[in-house]
Amino acid sequence: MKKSDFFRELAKALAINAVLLNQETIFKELDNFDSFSILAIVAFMDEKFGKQISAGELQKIIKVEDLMGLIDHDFF
Amino acid sequence: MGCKIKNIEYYLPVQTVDNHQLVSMAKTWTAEELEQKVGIRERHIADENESALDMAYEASKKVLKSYDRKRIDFILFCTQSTDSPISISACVLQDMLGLRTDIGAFDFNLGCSGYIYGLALAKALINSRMAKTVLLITSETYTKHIHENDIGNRSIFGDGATATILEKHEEEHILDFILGTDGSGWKDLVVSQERVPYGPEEETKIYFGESDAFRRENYFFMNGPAIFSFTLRAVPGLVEETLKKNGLREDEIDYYIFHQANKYIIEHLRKKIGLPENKFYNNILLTGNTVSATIPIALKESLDNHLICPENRVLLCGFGVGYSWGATVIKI
Repeated sequence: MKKSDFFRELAKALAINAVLLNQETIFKELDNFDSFSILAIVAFMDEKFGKQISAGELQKIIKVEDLMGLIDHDFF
Repeated sequence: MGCKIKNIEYYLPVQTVDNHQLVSMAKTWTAEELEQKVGIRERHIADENESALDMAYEASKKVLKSYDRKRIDFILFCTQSTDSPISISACVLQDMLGLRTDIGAFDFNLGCSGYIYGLALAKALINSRMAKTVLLITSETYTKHIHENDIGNRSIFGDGATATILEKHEEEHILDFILGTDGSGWKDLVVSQERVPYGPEEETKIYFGESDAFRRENYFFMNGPAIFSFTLRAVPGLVEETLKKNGLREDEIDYYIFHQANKYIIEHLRKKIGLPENKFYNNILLTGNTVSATIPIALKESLDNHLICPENRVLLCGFGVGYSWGATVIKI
């Protein structure tokens, strides 16, 4: 998967414009980012990458690149 | 020889809270947006003086309306909300209902998996000839533990009670179970007092580097994303193992009823496992998440609305607080 595809699919999951996303994007600075957005990210990671994010991993996610870091490098 | 569900009834408190009332406090979503997100329009809230026991009494009266209550020889009461720390709701209910005194009765403390465990216990009691007719209660008042400013959890949870009668039967209608426990998840859904797993509010980092779901001592706390992740890990395998243990294929199940946590999570699970929409229950629009009551309410509603018929095979799956999980197949 190309990184641009990742941003596009993640934006779709969050119901936002893909132009708002890059590796440095801080999730909590996105407009209307709320607890349901976080559920959408959990669902996105499970559906697209078969990754179930643990509670410990959730605590460390601040930027988009932190999320990408949870995915096997072979995906990109 | 085996056992069978004879009847199910439920009770929901009279008072309701709808999305319009909640969003007037939150001002982040509209009522319609909230309904779209969680699949809930209103939820029933126990009165200040209405306890889980009171609700159980109302549900029990309904289920015993056309049943000889003297036949009940065991009460199983699933609740995490007893009237007081050492009261035994099942015992008090025996007295309130005027049941025989030569019967067994106890409470057991489980939430979202409670109905599954209740069926397992009832089956064990009946098949071991310790009982012939079990009154299985689920009753919960989570809303009493949720802070009034916690709009997220107030939008999800509602109160309610169910009463199920299980009887000895010539044919087994409650098939085999798969049960599971992972206590490392205890801190993700808790009302804490002395043990505060995530620390004081200003230091708490639950997820995404900030205190989004901050802790309030003695109030309900739920780490929704962590629990969602847990269900994604546990539930697909649970369904597969339950089918395997019962020697059944997916297409041999007439209907699937999962614990109704919220519409989004349940729909994601359905798609992940690959279950057809027309064989899958997903409806808490007018009840909210009633914890251990969601599965029996869904069973009752499914029967009443002809989504399932007598003798249909239904796979029931409960999962949540604990972490605790369980599933079985029943012939309704």
